[in-house]
Amino acid sequence: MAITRRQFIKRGALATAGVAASPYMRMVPGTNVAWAAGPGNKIVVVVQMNGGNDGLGTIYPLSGTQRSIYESIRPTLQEPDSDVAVASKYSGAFPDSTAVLSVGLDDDLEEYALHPTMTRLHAISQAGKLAISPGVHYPHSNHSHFRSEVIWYTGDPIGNGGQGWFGKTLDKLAFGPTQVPVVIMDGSLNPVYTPTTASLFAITRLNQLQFPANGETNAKRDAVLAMHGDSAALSSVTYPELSKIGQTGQATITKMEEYYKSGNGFPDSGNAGPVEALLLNGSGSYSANNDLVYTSPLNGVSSRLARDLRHVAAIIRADVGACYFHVDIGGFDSHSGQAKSLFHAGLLHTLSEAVGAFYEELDQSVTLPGSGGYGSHPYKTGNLINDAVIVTFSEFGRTMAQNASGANEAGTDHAASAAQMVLGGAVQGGIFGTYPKLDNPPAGHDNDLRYEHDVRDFFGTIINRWLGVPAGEIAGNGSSFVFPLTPTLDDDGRNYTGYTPIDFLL
Amino acid sequence: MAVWNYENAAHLLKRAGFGAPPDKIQDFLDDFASVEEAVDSMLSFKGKKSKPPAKKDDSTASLRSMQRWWIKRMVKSKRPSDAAREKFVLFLHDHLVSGADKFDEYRWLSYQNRLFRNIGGGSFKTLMREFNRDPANLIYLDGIINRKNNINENWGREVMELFCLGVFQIGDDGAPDPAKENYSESDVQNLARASSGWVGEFQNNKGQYIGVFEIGEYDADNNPGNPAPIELFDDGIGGFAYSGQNLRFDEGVADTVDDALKYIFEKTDDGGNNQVGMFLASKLWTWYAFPPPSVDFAALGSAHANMKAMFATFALEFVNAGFEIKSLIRAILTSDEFYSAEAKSRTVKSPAEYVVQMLRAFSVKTNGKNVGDSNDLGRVLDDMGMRLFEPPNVAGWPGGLAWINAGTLLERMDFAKDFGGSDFGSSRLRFKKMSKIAPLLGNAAVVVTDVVDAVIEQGGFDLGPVPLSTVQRDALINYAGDGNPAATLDLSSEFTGDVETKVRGLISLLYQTAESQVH
Repeated sequence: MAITRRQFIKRGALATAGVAASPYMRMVPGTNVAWAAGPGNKIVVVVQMNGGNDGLGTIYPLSGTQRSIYESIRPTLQEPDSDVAVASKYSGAFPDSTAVLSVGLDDDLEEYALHPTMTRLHAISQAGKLAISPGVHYPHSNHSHFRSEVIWYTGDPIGNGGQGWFGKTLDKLAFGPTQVPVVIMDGSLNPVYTPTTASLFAITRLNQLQFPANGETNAKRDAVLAMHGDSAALSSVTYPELSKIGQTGQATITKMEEYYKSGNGFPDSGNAGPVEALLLNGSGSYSANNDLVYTSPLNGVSSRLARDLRHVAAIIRADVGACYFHVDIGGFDSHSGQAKSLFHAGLLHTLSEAVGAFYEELDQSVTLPGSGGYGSHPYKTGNLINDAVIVTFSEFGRTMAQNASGANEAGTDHAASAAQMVLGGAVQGGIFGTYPKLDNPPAGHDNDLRYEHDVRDFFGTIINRWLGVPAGEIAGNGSSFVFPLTPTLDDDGRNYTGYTPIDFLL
Repeated sequence: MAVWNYENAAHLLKRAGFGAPPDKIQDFLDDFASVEEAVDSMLSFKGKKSKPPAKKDDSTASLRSMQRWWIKRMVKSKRPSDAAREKFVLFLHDHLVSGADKFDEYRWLSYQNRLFRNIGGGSFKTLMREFNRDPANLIYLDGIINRKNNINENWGREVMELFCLGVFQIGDDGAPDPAKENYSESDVQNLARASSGWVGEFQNNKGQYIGVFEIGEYDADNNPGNPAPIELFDDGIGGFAYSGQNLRFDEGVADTVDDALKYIFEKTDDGGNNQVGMFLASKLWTWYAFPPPSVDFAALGSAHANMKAMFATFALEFVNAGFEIKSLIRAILTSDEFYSAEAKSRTVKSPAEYVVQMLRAFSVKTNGKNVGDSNDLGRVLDDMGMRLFEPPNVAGWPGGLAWINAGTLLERMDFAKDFGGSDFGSSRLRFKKMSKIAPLLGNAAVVVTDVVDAVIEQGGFDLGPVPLSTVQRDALINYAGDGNPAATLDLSSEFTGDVETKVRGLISLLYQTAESQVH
């Protein structure tokens, strides 16, 4: 063999890979210290409705011309316009559904309502903290789930994929290589969130965040951490990939101990990590449905979405550096049987109960057992709703008219825009702009709802007015912008020329 | 010419294939006298005829079964040339992308995989012509709805942007030069028009869909008296026309798309280099060596002035060989630059490379279903971000550092744990088959440093990407010796004692490092 055995070398001095200073790098409140390791005070929770939610069946017209058209094109899929009819249709299955849930008027003074089963979200609307952005979409709706989802992720109407808007925003916020600001709760790596520098966790259960070892966990963990530390110290000029992976390795191993059990590292050793400790019962095992250990409106709400949001609540309250979250709920691809056995109504009820309870969870101070922290690490026990924005989206809305006449058979097909919701303590409630008119579809697409808000304005408002990225960096041509401008005349000859915020955030 | 030694043989096997255990690397070294001989052997793509993953009439093939089939082939490829073919077909899958997300039957991708196997190494122009009419591509890039008066530009755009030319010419540093665009938007539209009329047709005698041309769906000026050619490229080299009842193909071309490709394959950059050759050179160099630009081109020991000049020589080989892709790969794999330190340390392994190299280095077999407690291997790669037969979009997997974040790294570390612990089924660790570890078995007191070094060498971690440092080696010794570097380990039995704990543990730990993610 030609090589020399045991040619082990001592590596060069540490090349510090500093986080590039950003003009609007966020500071620890009240200090000049860059926000390096701790969590920020701004939380974003994105709720994706998979399959293409029927926007017109979620937020529907109550009166006037639009109501008449709605009733004519949806003979069996229409939602009621009177309390009596709501109670008759829904109160058997959903006892709280006894009245029409008006959300007020749009800019044309037409009145709209939330689906009657969404009582929990309606209470938030009544408190003025639920915004409705009607008709959010992009030019030339693509009717493929995958393509349309990619367009929502990137804000690029061409649909070519690539890094998504949230990941680009994280890069602009200058999160460093040891930070994990994002947690995705459906276990798959969603490209919309992936930053260039920082990292994310994609999990379905907390125990996935456990150092992978068959026994001897501490000894193995120490060895791997030391080895990654040595790789991280390699020259980032000569070995840009290897040194970055070393940094990611260090971050991954140390960060996951803040979530799940480990005997090492995090302030006080113990069996449970600080996040997990908020989901365990007194005997150290997961409580029913992964309920939170303290009194929370989320406890006892039974759905996967609610369980995921309990995990999100625990991560937020444990104060471990993650502030952006993705949860999802599936089943919205209702080509047929949309009203059969209250199918779509049930999905919206599940969504409303889980998201409503999550809002209530953040909108309260909590009392934790024991010292109220994890050893010396304090939990966030205060009211957090003014720090949070919750936003819904779906890859597209569905056709205006139902596609079959039978009450059990009728469904709707892939189409274009749909109304989306934004909630939070800082959110301005109400309907922003004009609900797309049912008698004014885009040219050549008679069964689509036209879009009134470009997806770039919708997410751009959150990026700009909530996360603080300057408006001038939202949309334009080139990689330094969050969204590509991609000049494209839409079906009506409209062209997106730049970012215009929507006033659900001021 | 680069020296033919163990280190370079190991590098060639890893990059052109999926690596090999130390004893097989030595055999490979002994079998050939030079880099050129070894490369020619690998690129023969010889070996057992490989059936496609799904039978041609099997509409029930599942994504997972196809993924398992392919991963198993990558792991089990015995001859270096078998592995080289799998690696190259994986390149084509990542370059000429069709994805399962647009299909209701996965078998279309089985046909496409077979197409890549059968003719992928030959003329790239022929491959593009056949790829156009491949059913998976016709569906994925909307060829079947690209018709007269209803032009869909998807295929036309990707031929220009992703498959053949690239948006920009290659700059001096080997990366795209944003000041020099290769085509205009009207070129995209016109290529789409020139490619229109291909539809899917079920052919009973073949038992499958194939792409066929329907002249009535071809979008060209069909005024018989005044045929207006479809222009391509404003430098005036293009033009196709439909006149009267016949397509006026240029002499010697087989169909409309071939006619259009003729002009694309004639396109040159400002320096007169064939642009398809330059573009493919940069793509294949990235695949086999490292992503441009170089961090220090002078350190590559190149005879060329810069990366672009190096690509130009590769492109010339490609053109002179009638656009044969193998000739381009051969030029890369026999270049001095390919054996530089940078080419051995700057590519982040794809999940397939990471997993398959691991199994091969330790002579572990697989049925593709699982390794120890791991998931199905298709699912394993999926969880690491590589869903075989379903790339994220038409641009393929982004590659490089995009493979690695806290989530994917954790999936890789978790697989390393399952690999080290694998003690049942077809993929169990067989220590007696590991040439570096087997000699230590049967000895009840082996010095811990010898055990650590044997495991390091079995995995090839003594070679690179950067040889493990003293700090890293010490961390492994500290683990294996429970803090005592002079300790001895009991390797008297393959199934008990320190083999079961420490040797398995060392294997897991090595593949949890940053070094194991890069080659």
